[in-house]
Amino acid sequence: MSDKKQMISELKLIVKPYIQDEIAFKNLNEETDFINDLKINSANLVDVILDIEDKYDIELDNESMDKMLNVKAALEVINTKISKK
Amino acid sequence: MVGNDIIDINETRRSSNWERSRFIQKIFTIKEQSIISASNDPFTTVWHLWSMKESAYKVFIQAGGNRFFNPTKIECRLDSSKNGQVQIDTTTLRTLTSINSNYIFSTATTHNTDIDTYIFQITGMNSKQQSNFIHQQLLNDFAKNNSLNCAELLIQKTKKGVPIIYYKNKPLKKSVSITHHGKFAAYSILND
Repeated sequence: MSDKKQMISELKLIVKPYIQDEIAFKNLNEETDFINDLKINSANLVDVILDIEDKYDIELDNESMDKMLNVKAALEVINTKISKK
Repeated sequence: MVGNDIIDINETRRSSNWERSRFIQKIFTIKEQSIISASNDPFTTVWHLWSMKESAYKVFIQAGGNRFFNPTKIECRLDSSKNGQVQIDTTTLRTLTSINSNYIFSTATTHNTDIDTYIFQITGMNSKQQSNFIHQQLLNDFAKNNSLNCAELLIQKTKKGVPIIYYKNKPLKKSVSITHHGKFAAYSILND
């Protein structure tokens, strides 16, 4: 399992192409909400999910996706999936 | 209650690739996937269905539902090229979609209610400015139509992102929905 700081910076790289709020992106932290803060449009949030799957070689089923509204939840889901590999 | 969603066609061509591997499976149910594969214009059908889901989701949240991100939990049915129905859990919403070469626009309502929609083309604004622009348009029109002082009106979003109109700092019971994407912004307001 990667450490949290590194995972956040990896996630930051993944979401970068889709964000529409630079300030929220610069201040990205565990509490950052993908839609409300980063203003990622929901169709692009699907791209984020697919990019995460590719990057970590995991599959995010609908149930996991369901929770992935902020950075903290995303990290938890990714970690759970990685640990089950 | 009303929810709306606008999709700028050029912006979507630029920023989203619906043909990307696994994209369709992530957002559409088996039934919806068959609507898409039967379509002469799958690009438009994909984003037509998507705008229906988005607008319906906004009503679901307005009605007190909890936020979620699971597009397959929302299922669309097309009754005609314009009219559709969307199912979220036990709620069924009716949708109306208009499509032209510039945008796809859908509204969703709980009943067959009367809604007014205003669509604006705007350029040279970032996401935040667009949002401010459409809020101001809504308030200007609302003030005029109801003979209110615009300076006393305000829009604030709840934690879940539902826009609420305030007059003299008191929330009004008026369902509105706001959307912007690419070069387009729109608001829809429910007539009581």
